Amino acid sequence: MSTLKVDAIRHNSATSDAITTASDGTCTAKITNNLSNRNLVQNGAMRISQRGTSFTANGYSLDRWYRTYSSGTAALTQSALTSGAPFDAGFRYTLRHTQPGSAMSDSADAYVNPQIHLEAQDLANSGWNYKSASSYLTLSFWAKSSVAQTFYHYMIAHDGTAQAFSFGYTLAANTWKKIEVQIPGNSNLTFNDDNGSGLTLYFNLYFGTGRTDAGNTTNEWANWNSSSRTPVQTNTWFTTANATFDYTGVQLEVGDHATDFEHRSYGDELARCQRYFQLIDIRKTTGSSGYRYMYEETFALMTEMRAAPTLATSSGYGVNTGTFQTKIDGDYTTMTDGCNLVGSSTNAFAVRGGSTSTYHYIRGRVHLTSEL
Amino acid sequence: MSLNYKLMSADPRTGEEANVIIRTTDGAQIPKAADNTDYQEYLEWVAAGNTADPAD
Repeated sequence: MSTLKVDAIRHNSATSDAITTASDGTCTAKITNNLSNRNLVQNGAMRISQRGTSFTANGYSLDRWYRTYSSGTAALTQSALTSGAPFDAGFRYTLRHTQPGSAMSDSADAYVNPQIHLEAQDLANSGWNYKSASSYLTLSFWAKSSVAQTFYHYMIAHDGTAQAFSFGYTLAANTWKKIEVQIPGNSNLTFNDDNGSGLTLYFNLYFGTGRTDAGNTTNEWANWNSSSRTPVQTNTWFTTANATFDYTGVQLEVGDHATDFEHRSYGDELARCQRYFQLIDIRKTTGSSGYRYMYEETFALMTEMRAAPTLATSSGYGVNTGTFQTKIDGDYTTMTDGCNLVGSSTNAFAVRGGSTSTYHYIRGRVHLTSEL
Repeated sequence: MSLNYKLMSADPRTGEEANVIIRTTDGAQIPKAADNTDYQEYLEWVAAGNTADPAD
């Protein structure tokens, strides 16, 4: 038996130690694989899509992912992956933005801005010493564009005096690239220990000159300035009809290097997303068509939501289409569509039928949102 | 997309004031909850000098 006594272990070509030993018998290691509970982003693999799989309107799309664009009809889809480097890394879906079929005209106000909002308390309690310039978050993801170009993304830390951090990278046409960005702490950063918006990641695909600035410095924090979100951008992708941009495997983690993506089970990822959006199917009857007494009903949420949810819409039972139905007569032929939210909390909600009458039967799906 | 809102009718049985605002732009029904971002957006809309349509 022998003991190897060293202060550190480093690869011949590396610039930093992989393992650093300490005099108290412990060590610190930069391990990159098989780690759990590191990703601060929900649905980074683009698997969860409760609202649907194809979208054109501004707003939420795949779970947690929000997109705004200035004009035209641009599709946002959950796109299946069947080959390529991210497929080999275990991903089966991307979030794909497709430009309109007619080439867009550039303008100072043009924008295409996918984004995800993260709760402040998840940053505040992440273990990131965000006040220290020597403590890091690392953002990693796969990206592919149908047009070769340099893209710029940015993030905003909202609490206190809002701070922004931009970064850029260049893609070859139709070629996947894994992007890794180290984000240092900064004494001006603040993350409240609450359920408000703490950090928003903007996977910006284009800004016209009204929102960019040649003086914008990438890879450092600065006071948020809506006229200087990124450096000035090339408009080739934006003005190319049917141009596409795909990304997946989004991971934001504490530390100065990217670890392997934290693949979670479908159920685990869905539950995390349900903090912000839930589909709940309701079917309740008094048991007798002639016995009407229901007026409003309270139901438990599947998991505690971020905030008391909004009833975004309602639909048929078990589906995202059709109408919520209420039967108010004994002959089963008179039905009042729709439902009204009476109230909600973070763990329950109450609804009544669209009618102000009592009724004996309600059936449908409620779409509840507490997004940031 | 310009926003517009309407007040939800009071409970016809109890007369209790509704705890929900209707965003008529898309039909969303928004609880009056301080940390609901839709309600925060409504309060900003009101603070900007707008007034919700009365309940039916």
